[in-house]
Order: sequence, then C-alpha cells, then structure tokens
Amino acid sequence: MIEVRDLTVGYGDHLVLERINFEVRRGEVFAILGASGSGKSTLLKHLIGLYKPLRGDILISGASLVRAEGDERLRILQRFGVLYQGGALFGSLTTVENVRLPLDEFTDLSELAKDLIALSKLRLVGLESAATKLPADLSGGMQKRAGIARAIVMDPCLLFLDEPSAGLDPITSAGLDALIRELARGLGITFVMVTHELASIYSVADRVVVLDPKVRGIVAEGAPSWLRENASQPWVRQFLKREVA
Amino acid sequence: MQPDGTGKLTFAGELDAESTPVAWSNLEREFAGIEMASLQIDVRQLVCDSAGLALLYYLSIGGMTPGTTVNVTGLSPEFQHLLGSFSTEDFQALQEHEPPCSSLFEDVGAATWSWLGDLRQQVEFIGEVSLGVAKSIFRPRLMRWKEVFRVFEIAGVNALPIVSLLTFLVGMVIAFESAQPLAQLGAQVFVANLLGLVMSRELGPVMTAIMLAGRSGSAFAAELGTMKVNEELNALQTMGLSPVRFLVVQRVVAGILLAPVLTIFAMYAGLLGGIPVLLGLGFPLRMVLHQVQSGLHFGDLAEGISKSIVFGGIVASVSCLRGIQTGEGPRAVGESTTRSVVSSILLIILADAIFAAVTYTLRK
Repeated sequence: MIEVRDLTVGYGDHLVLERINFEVRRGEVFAILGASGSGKSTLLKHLIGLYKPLRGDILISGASLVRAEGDERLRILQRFGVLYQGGALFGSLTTVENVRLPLDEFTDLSELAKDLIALSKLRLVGLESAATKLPADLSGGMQKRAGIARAIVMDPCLLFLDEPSAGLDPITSAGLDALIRELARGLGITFVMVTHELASIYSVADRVVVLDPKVRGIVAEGAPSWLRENASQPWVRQFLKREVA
Repeated sequence: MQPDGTGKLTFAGELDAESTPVAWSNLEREFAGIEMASLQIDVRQLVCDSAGLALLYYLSIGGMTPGTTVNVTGLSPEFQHLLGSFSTEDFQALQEHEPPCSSLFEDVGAATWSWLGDLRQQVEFIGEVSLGVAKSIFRPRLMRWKEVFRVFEIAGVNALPIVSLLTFLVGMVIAFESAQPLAQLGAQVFVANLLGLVMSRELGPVMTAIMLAGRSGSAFAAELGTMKVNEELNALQTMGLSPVRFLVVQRVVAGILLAPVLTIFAMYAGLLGGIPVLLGLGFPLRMVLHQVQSGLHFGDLAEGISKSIVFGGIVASVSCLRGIQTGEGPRAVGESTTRSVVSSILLIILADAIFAAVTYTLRK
C-alpha cells in the first residue's frame, strides 16, 4: 500500500530522518512510534504530501507522491484521508456540512445523495445526532469522530491518523480504538497512525516502527507485543513496557 | 417490468461517485410514472462505493417507486453492514432542522445587554490601565521598559515611512484642491497658511492616529487575541500576574509616547507635500515658509500634539482591550482585530469632535 524508500527528511541543513525504509501492507493498522522529537509528526506530514522530502520516495499504491504533480497528485491525495490531532473541522460549518465538504467539492452527486452519504458516515462513527451541531458544540472525542467521518466520506483505502487518542479520556479513547478496528476490519481501510498511547497501540496496531532521534531512523519494526519482549534495543522494550529507564 | 406488476432491476459493473449521478438521473427518468407492486434489485455483479450505496438505499426505501415493495439481493455482508448505516430518520431530522431564529425584541435585548457589558468592561479596563500607568510612573522599575521600546520600534519607527508618505500625499492633495477656490477669491497665497493649520491641528494627528489604529492597533489586538486563544493570558493569571499590567500597560505607554513623535513627522511631511504644489503655482519658497510661519502659533502645535497623545492612548488601550476580549475559535482573533480598528477609529473621531468643541470655546 505504502512504500517508503531511502527517505531523508529535514528542515534546511537539519536532518530529522535519514535514509529510512519501510512498507505498510494493505489492510493493516500501522503505527509510528518514538520519543518526542524523533520525527514522527514530520514523517507523517511527508507521508501525506504536506512536505517534500530532501531525498527518497514515497509510493502510494505504486504511484510516487513525491514526483506527482497536478491531476496525478490530486488523484493520489484522494486515495487517502487524514485525521488531524484536533479534528481540524471548519468552525463555520455544521458537522454534516464538514463531512459533506469533499463530496461538494469533488463529485456531481445530488444534494440528496450527498446528505445520505454524509449522514451514513456520521452514523458509522456514532454521531448521527450531532449532524446539525457546530464543531464548537462538540467534545474533543466527538470532534475526532467527526474528523474520521469526513476523512472516510470519499471511501479512501488509506487513512492517516495524527495522535488520535491525544487529549481523550480512557473511555473515549477506547471507543475510538474500537471504531478504528471496525473500520479496518469491516471496510478494509489501511491505517497509518502516529501515537504515544501504548494502550491504543496494543489494542489496534498490527505492526509498528519505532523512530530514534539519535540514529535519525528506525530502530525497531514488528508487532507491538513481540517488540515489547524481543526488541534488540533495551530502550525500545522499556518504551513499550512503559518503564522508567 | 412483468405483466403481474413486479419489476426486476439488475446492476452490473461499477457504481462510484462518477457514475452514480448519471445512473441516478436515468433511473429517476425510467421509474417516473410507473406503478409496481414489487421491485427486485439484483446487485450480485455490482462493485460500488458510498455513492452507489446511497443510490441502492434510496431505491430500497422506495424513493423512486413510492408504494412499491423493494428487495435488494446479492449484497456482500460488508456492504449490507454499510447499507445499514443509511437512515431515513437521520435524513428527515436534517431536513426538519431549522437554525434557531430569535425575535427582534430578543435581538435588541441581547445587543443592549452585550453593549452594557462591554461598557462595564471598558470602564474596568480604563481603571486598571490608569492604575498600571500611574504605578509605572511612580515606580519605574515595575515597568518592562524593554517591551515598551520593542513596541515603540515595531509600532512607531517601522510605521514612519508609511505615515510620512501618506501625509505627504495628503498635503499635496490639500494644496491642489484649495488652490483653485482660493484663487477665485484672490487668496491663493493663503494655501500655505491653510496647509500649516490643517496639518498641525487636524490632519496630522488624525491621519497618524488612523494609521496607528489600522497598522499597529490591529497588530496589538491580534497578538493579545492569539495569546488569549493559546491560554497564555490564563497562564499569566494563574501565576498571579495581571495581563493588563504585564502586557497592556507597556503598549499603552508606547502608544502615548510614539503617537506625538509620529504626528510631528506627519505634520512636516504634509507641509513638504504642499510645498512643491505652491512652488509650481509660482510662489517662492521663502514666501511659502513665511506664510506657514505667520499662520501657525504655538497653540496650534500644542493642540495637535495633545490630540495625538490622547489618540495614541485610545488606539493602544482599545486595541489591547479588544485583544483581551477575544473569544474562542479560529474566527475570534479576526473578529477582535476588526473590532479594534472600528472602535479605535470611532473613538478617535469622537475625541476629535470633543477637542474641536473645547478649543473653539476656549478661543472665543
């Protein structure tokens, strides 16, 4: 689904990640882990095409996101959805209008069809009763759910999540994990998530990569529960066991 | 459609966001006016996305064939699950939802209440700022002078070129516009006197203050508004620091100090703008300067400078107040910036009118 080849990212002369390689398989929930400052968010911003890497390539379903331009780039961007940390809902639009927005912009569907689709996505994330509310009237967890509804409204095969559990209480966070599992298993969506929440990782992630700022790259890759016991780097095991070094 | 009143519809191929609109309108056309007892929809050979599912759902609830029993067969379990997420109740609730509408009395009441609340806040704010400034005068160590000089540089020194350019052009325009009517009265030489008086008493301070409100006041409001949104003001309060003393007093002091300096530059720039026009009309430079000198008195300059001090205080304090009053959400900072400029200009003109009335009475 995603192939990252010899990717080097940074700002000016400052390199954040150097020559990293990994692959995300179709249908899996893939998590990017690492200490603060290890470049997780920077990597995510490159994966979703917000930044251009210094070197290397990112292939999404075989198409290069780095080299693509114009309509080709737009086609690649439409293959995935993104959930930003705060939901990134537009404050002047109601929840259903936020979810409908990509349909309004990119399809010729009738108003009725667009409303039906947007409402079905809101029902999928359990927000059908909040359709006419403004984002300011939603709680943090509800905003994230609405963000997911907007991200899946164009039926993407790939969904990027930036810290989906950040700032949520454990119950809401567990509910969000359950939703991710349901969307991954039920709709076959591939998930790539950046997170610090170990509970979420063990609950939903099939595979993880761990980034280390000291080596500016990946130090461990595999299933989270396997890495917790078998990672070659002691700090990775400590990190996954949430132990103090 | 069969003779017994039953119909059969078979979908094959792909039904996505691109093909669905065409299929939807074709089916609506085909089904228009047809009455059926039942309709069997076969989707075994169909691949579809949410758009296609929306069409299937609409058909299945009889949206195109009212009164017909519709049965969809051949849907895979995951698509069956997704079809279950479509709901007529949700759609009806959305259609029936009307944005809350208030009556005129409610609107007037709310506006009056809000205006009174704003007035109360303004009075409290003026008191707090005055106290802060007074404390700083008597105990200068309390003042963060570094911040005052930073604001002075950003809002004052950096504004000098644009204020000078604008007032230079205004001076030029006034000279041009007044030359012709005064020439009809044989008093073209008094253009210089007029320019001197207008620039020092009225346009110098007012133009500077308006520029200050648009350029620096809006920046104050946006800066403090962003700090409010980022909870920096709350952080100050929980540390036991007053946001007014910590952030506003410096800006008000800088505003009071920089407005007269900018106004003096504006007065000179305005006069300089008028001089080329007067030279072009054939008046020698010495004569022009003499006319300006004879027409201007110390009182005129003092009036202009005093106005500018008041205007500087108004712009800085109103802008800071609007910044502190910033609400929540992404639009809040933009709203407070707009309010700061509008309120500042309104109060500048109001203060100018009061000045005009007072000085007229004093001159009598």
